[in-house]
Amino acid sequence: MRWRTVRTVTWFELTSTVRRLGYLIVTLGMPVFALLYAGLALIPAKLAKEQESAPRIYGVVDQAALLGLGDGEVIVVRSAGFRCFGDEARARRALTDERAIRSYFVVTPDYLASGRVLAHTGPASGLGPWEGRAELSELLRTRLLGTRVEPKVAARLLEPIAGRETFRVGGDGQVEAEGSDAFIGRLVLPIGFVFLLFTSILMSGSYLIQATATEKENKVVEVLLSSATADEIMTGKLLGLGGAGLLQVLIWLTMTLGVRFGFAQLVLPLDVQIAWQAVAIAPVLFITAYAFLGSLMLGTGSFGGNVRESQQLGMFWAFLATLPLMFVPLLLTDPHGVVAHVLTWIPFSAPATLVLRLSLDPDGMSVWEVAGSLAVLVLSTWAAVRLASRLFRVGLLLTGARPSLREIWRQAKGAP
Amino acid sequence: MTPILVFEGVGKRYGDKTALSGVSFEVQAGEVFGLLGPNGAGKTTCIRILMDIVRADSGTMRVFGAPLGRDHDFRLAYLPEERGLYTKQRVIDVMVYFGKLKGLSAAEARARARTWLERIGLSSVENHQVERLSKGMSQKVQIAATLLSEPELCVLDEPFSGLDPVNTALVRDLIGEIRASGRTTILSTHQMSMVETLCDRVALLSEGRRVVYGPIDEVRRRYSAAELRITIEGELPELPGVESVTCERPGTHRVVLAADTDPQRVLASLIDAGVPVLRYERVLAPMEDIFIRVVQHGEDRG
Repeated sequence: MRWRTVRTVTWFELTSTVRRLGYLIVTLGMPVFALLYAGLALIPAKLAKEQESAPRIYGVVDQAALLGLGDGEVIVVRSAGFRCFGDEARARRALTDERAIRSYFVVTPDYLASGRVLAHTGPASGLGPWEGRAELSELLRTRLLGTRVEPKVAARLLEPIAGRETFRVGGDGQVEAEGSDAFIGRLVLPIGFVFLLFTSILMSGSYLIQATATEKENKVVEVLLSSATADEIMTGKLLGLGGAGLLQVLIWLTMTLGVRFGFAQLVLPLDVQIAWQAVAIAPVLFITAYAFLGSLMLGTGSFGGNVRESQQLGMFWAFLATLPLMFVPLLLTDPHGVVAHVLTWIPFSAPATLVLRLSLDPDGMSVWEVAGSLAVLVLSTWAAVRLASRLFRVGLLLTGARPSLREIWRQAKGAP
Repeated sequence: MTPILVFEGVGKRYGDKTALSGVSFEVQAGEVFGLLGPNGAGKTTCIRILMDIVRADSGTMRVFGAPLGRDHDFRLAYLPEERGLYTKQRVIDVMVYFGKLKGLSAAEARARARTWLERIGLSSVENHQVERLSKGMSQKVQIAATLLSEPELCVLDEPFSGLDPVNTALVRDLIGEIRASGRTTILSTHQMSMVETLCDRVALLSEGRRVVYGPIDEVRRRYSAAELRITIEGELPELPGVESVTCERPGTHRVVLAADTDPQRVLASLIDAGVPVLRYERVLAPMEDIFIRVVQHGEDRG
């Protein structure tokens, strides 16, 4: 591979992409769009919060005589108010004629034995008959405990874990205090990594495929292949257009952090603790994963007859790349379970899994597992680049009817 | 003379289709070599093998005296038949990119691109987007971009397509200049008049096989009947060994000789008869005729 030629292709692809009007609009316009979108999304959230601050009133008919409330008396539990009615007919009127309550509950006479509570909804009952159930349960628990147990015991029964302190025991047995949200803090790197990786792959992949399809349409392919090898062209494209995609994502991140909006606002107050092992391996994994997926996208995308076809063919890999996201809950629950071990050895899922596992519990992974997974990923990337460059050459020269897979394989094997 | 390119028994198949079958030819340094043939004859496959875009299944090829390698990239240049430019880019940027791919520095490529744009009369469109160019202008930019690196061996596949007569003459002159500078050109074209004007030697392919090969004059003689075109003053006398005479216009006669007649004997007879001979030439078969006779009728004269 002649790196001077690769550099020429890289620079051309990078500069011609970042100067495109479409690129500039997307790069600079996306944060503005996101801000507008977030602004619009905030409106219903704000309205809902305002509604929450005003207590919602429910009716309660206490046939078990447990609550100790007089007729018409109202008791507030958190954001819910319960108005007591002496009989069900009055509660019904309040619900339907006066619309003074959202719904009403009947605590049945045999409640202590059966636990039966009947919920009644009306024309304006919001989220359904059991809206306010949690608050009613709390009210019932409080009244049931009443004076039967000591106030301290009652308080513990109502809130068994009232004060929380978190400590972390390191691999060396040392105990250190940490914030209760430190777990979320440890997820910052893997979440950021996965976000950056997938966004870069999707954006760069789109540019890669578009550029290749355009070259086919513009008929410059043979000129390129007579001046550079398929490996050189493909590597140059991966670097140049990957750079364009990464630059775009970095601009978005910078703008997002600049206005302390969304993700940044969530992250900055946290006790962010990042394992050095994860930090050290993340860039290597990022580059390798990008080369692995990008080359596969480019190799298969080159078989498309136009931009749309190429995108359909190439984006299959982008879909595969997002598969690890489906396993995130499992990985969080058990970062060293069977699923985590399996995903560590599959090239498509290895980058995200490794970063996640190393961030959550770096001491739980053996060196050989990290090294082995990395080796498999690097070897897979090498094989993917080799295969993709051959497919890329065959695909680029392809005109007319699409050949069979056998023919593609035959031509790919015989490619220079 | 040293051959700059040697094809020896080169074969290539695409699936069930044989694109080339044992094709051999040599291209000498400094000549314009015509690679001819009907559509689908294997010309483009030959060129793609030479440019290392596809690999031959059999046979050998040597370029500049050695097997083909990527280090030859900078010494070769190729103008494909199916060609184009990056439509959204500026003309100068595309030319500089192609120049850099051929090993030129950015500054050198830019300087040469400007010189070439001036040479082909397109300096004014240097900063225009390619999509704003007419087809003819685009063709000229492609040719200039190909020649930018001053390659030792230049392969031009249908360089005249889409050009008006003025620009056709311009490209013809450019090819003449390449030859004058001692560099080599492989010219693939269906314009047989250009082949006759420009080519020193030719190879004609048909159905993947080489069917005609050699210096162009020799090839044309090989496929020509024993015919003379004689321009004289006055009447044409009775000549020995002549089968028929046709008057093309007053004073100019087309004379078909008998099989064993020496053309020099006819000339001697005219001089002996005191006829002023203004022009006396062997009538050579036009390449277009040869092409049709060989390709369509399978005529084989070695």
